[in-house]
Amino acid sequence: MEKILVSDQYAPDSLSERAEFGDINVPVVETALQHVNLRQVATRTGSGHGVSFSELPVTGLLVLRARSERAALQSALQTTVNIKLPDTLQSEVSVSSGSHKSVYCIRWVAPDEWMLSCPAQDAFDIETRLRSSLGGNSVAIVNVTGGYSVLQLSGQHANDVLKKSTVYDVHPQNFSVGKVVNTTFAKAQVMLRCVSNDEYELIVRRSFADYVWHWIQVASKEYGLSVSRS
Amino acid sequence: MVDLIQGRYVQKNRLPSGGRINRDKILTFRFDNRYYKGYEGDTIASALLANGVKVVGRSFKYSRPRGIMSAGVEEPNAILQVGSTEATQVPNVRATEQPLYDGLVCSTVNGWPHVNFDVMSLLGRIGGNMMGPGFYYKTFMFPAFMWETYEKFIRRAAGLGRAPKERDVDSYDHMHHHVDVMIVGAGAAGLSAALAAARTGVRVMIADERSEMGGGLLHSTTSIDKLPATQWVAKVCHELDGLDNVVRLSRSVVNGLHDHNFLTVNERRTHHLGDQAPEGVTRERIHKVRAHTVILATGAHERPLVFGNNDLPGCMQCSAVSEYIRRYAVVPGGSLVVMTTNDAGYQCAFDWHDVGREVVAIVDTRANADSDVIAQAKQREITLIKGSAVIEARGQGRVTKAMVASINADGSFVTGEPRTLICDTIASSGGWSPAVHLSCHTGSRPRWRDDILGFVPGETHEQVLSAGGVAGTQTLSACIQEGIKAGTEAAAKCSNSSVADAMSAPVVEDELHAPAMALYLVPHTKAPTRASKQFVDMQNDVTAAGLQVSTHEGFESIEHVKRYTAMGFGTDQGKTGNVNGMAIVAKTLGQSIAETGTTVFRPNYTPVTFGAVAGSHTGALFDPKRFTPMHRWHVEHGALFENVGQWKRPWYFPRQGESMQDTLNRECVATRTSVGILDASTLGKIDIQGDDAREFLGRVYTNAWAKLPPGRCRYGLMCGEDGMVMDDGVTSCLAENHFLMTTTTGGAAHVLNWLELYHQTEWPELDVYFTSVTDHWATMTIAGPNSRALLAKVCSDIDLDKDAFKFMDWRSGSVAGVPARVFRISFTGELSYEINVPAHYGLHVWEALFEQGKEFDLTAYGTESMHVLRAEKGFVIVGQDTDGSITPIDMDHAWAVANNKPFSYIGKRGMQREDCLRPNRKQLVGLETVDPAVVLPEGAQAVRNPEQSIPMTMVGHVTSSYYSANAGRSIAMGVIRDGINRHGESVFFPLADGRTIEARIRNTVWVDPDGERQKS
Amino acid sequence: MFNIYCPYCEEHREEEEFHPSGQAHLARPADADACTDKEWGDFLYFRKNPRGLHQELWQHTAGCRKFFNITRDTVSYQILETYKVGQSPQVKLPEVKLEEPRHG
Repeated sequence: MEKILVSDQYAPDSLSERAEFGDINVPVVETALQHVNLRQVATRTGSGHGVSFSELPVTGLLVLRARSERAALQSALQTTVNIKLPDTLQSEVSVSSGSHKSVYCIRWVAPDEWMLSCPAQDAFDIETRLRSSLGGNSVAIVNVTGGYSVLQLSGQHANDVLKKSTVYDVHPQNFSVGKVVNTTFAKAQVMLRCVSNDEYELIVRRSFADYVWHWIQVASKEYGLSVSRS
Repeated sequence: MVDLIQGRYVQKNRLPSGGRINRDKILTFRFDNRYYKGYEGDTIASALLANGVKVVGRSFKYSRPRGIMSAGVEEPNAILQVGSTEATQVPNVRATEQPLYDGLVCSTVNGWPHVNFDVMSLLGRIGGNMMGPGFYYKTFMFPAFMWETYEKFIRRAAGLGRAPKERDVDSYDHMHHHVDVMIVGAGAAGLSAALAAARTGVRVMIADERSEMGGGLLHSTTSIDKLPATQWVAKVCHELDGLDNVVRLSRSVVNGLHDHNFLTVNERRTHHLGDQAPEGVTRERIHKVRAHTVILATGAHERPLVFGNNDLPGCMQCSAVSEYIRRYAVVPGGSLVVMTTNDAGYQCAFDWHDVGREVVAIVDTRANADSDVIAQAKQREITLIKGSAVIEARGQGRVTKAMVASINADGSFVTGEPRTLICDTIASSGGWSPAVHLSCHTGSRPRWRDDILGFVPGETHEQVLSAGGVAGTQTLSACIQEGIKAGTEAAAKCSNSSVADAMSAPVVEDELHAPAMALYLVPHTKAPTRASKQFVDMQNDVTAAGLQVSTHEGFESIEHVKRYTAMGFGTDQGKTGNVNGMAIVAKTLGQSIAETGTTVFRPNYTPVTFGAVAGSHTGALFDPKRFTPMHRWHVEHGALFENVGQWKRPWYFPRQGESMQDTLNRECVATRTSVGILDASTLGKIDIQGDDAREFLGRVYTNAWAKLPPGRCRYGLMCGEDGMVMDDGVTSCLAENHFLMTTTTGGAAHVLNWLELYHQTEWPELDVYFTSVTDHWATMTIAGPNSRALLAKVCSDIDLDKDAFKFMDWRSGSVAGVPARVFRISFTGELSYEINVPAHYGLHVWEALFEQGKEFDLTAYGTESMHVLRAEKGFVIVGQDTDGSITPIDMDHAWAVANNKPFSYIGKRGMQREDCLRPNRKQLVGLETVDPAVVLPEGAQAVRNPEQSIPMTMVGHVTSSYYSANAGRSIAMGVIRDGINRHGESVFFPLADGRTIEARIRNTVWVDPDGERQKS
Repeated sequence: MFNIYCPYCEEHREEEEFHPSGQAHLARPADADACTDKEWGDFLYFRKNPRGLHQELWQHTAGCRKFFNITRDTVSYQILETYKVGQSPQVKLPEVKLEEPRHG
């Protein structure tokens, strides 16, 4: 009997931008900030401001949990996606391809917890392969693709916006490129990653995305905010 | 003032040159309905003094006229209301701290009806002895019913400004910082410390309350490294600004030094620019700073001496006089008498003399001081009166005379006949009180030092150093050296690099100083209680006599004296008065100041606006609003929303012309007759995996989980260790070691932490992992007899046959082309399917269901109809029908309790406590009103006999109550003592409006008692 | 606001990221069913409230979600150590003679 359920949570051909509802057989995807119509906002704000914001398209996200079976997880990851676990807690390992900086990125966020991101359509495949590679080892894998919104904040004042928003010490001396932390973001929580200098990734709970977006607009007001739809 | 002959505007006390003001930028402002002019660089105080304005307020209790006494944060009198419009009103602004801007409007806060003619002063004058310490306590005590009348009078008379009545037009924010070294205060010591620390490369922040850094150096006559002090300041600031490891904050008052070196810094970013902040800029910002080491370089406040009528406008601190002359080019008067106990007091006489105004005399309380300054006074031919004191000021509304008399060596009594000196300004200096406030915020008590006649910061367990004036250091060279030492030491604590010679001390020549005299209360020919009032705390109108009376009345602890007299209260926090007050109390009690001690200074050091405290957490950002993936559809379809925790849930979907009850009736009937749909995405969902997942469920739920096979769901009840119901929900077996738990919307976060708590602290050996998937799944429940037919239209890969997909089964498949998990569970009692799809497909599937549901008239219903529908079936809502004192047995859920499980699950032992087993506990029952049209109010209390006298014996209350269109009558649930055994009996609900409603106790199920529908 | 060293994240974090969970080292009785009402009541309700050193259980709610222990001085608010669940404190608490809790 199957011990852990692995189910496909991705509908093929479904990465089209949301249009008017037409055919029930053509699923459309909505990101958490779809209602904001960021593309239109982007036109309005122009570019070249102190802070730049974007919401990534739906990104495949898998929570990986392991305690004593870390080695097993490590080797399963290596066989399936050829990525290794980060060496230190609160850091990440990314695999890039072409212009994509992190096609796969694994973030070590708690002693027994990692967050793996991947293209949305690959999440089921990766989970399945990890499961079969892990065999009976006690590792938890949870597909949480729909549960989060992946945001990007960049620009010369992005760090200032973070300082207004999180209690974590985001000074580059402490929060250097490649560091990932779970912390607060205003009254919400965030998985925060320093992608490169002045470029940050915010993974927030989907239901809080609208709040976070409103907060960022207010916090970046004095620096100017440009929006892009990546 | 307009000079009528010249037709030019003249600031009569402004010097023709000098000062750190910009004479090219003339600013107009209004004070109490009159217009004045000042310059850029002025404060309101310096501009008022330049214009010869003497009276700036009325005192709190006696309503005596008051003038500007100081030039900084310690100002007790010049507290103004600032703002040109209602929305921009700011109360309690110190005139000495508010930079002048063009168009500024300000007014006195205490003058009622007018500052120069105050009815309250009558009370002050005739009632002087009447209003002793504890006046309000003693006078307005009786009769008690009059208190509300008294209170109105007192509030009007004692107001310190008023809050705006309109919404603030400005915005505010907060910013977090983490630094190695935080320096509070940017005088000589602070700047030196900052530079010394900054040069080592560690992260440094320096904050100063004034608009320019430099502190006393900005009006100092000395030179540092052969540069005028102001140039040295500019040089240091320039270097600091060039370092990217330094944050330099002006106009930023450090208001609190909290645990583990957490500081709150209130930056006033735009208050020098105008009434309203420029577009896009926040008016104030609170910096929340975590520092490894804090250096207090807060300096010291000059202590004015306490003598008769020392509150008359024209009485000032010596240092303030110097600051006005040198920094603002303002001489506050025409003829000056200086009284001092120390050398520092002489400087203001020199400054006054050097700009060509008359110094009547320097009155030195010391008989035989020998110091450089005495020679300098002689050189300037200033009259020096030694061994004497100004025992009283005289004048109507302002100083016109000083009464001077010789005193004995320790200043305890007057030895000679008083004589009169004609003057309009009396400057006094009783020494310097280190500004130790911040050092006290984490509980440390300041320590008295006899050698400097002041309190210095006491021992602390935090990493806090002090340097300069706050540490009792009184010469400039020593202040700078201490600053450098502290900065170097602090930096060394935070970095491993060698920082030995980061900075050497600049060259400063100190003057020879003679020791100061310990004098706080200047003696008078009469006893304090008979002499003219000798003020200790001007803001709270505390006098020397008042303090003596308090001690005579038995208040001996300084903390009690403080509360009885109000000394050191309010926005003042005892900045100028406390030490004098303590000295007076000490002397009255015949003990030392060290023995008397100080009161505790608490945050905040200065008043903070509510705007700054709130920051950006206002309006839409006050609290996060959480939205489901289908929220937009709800908005477009006219939903009204209900807050459930932070979630916005559709409450009901009214159509045009419908009342709320109409809507509920329509939604509920549609669901029971055809099919309804509910957005249930907010339910907490926890993915549970691991070899011991099943075992874990058995321990946290009251019922059995050992045999639940994959593909099946079960209702679970969770208790606390006390046996009381905590949460409930359906948990489904996804695979042998894999479960999906649902929780109530409000309980989601708590339940997840609860599971983690037990796993991490009690049963770490169990192999199990919990992951919140609440946000991952969009959940929609279709309920009603047509729900199967509807589902069949959008789902072809699940066998929906009632025997293949039974009640409490779940299946995976696809719905509307999207991967889905469908659970056949029901919170309405109807045939019902809960469809879960990843959140990004939620709206698509929802719309697909409506597209396909037209033929069934698919009806969206909200939380209110959900409540009615579940109540019709007697399904409870934890937190509404339970309140933390209800066990599963009380809830009539014995069927959900499995006491034969091998492990003593959470709640089992608790439920068996004596009190939980006793009879006559409140138990959940249905309540059927005798009149079916009457809906019981939720919360109504039940009695068995409504004829009994008040207070009646209450036997329970209503927990849920609705009108049910399906039942055709009102329905209710409640908890009633021994209710389960009393079905059929009547209880009565006497209401506040006089009605008494009778209801019969019954079971809780009103619709489909045999549960046929959900299984159909 | 405290500055708390999370023994799992191995970093100092701001108090806002944490949630206190009361007294540390409260062991659930191994055989709950065998407890008397008094023993169970003590486990359920009776807590220390010392002036001075105290061991507390906290959770890094906004961080790693792990529970851990803190030895804290309730007078000075200084945190003397933090340690993982299952580890023993290094700081010894002073012996305090506790009064027998009264039962009503």
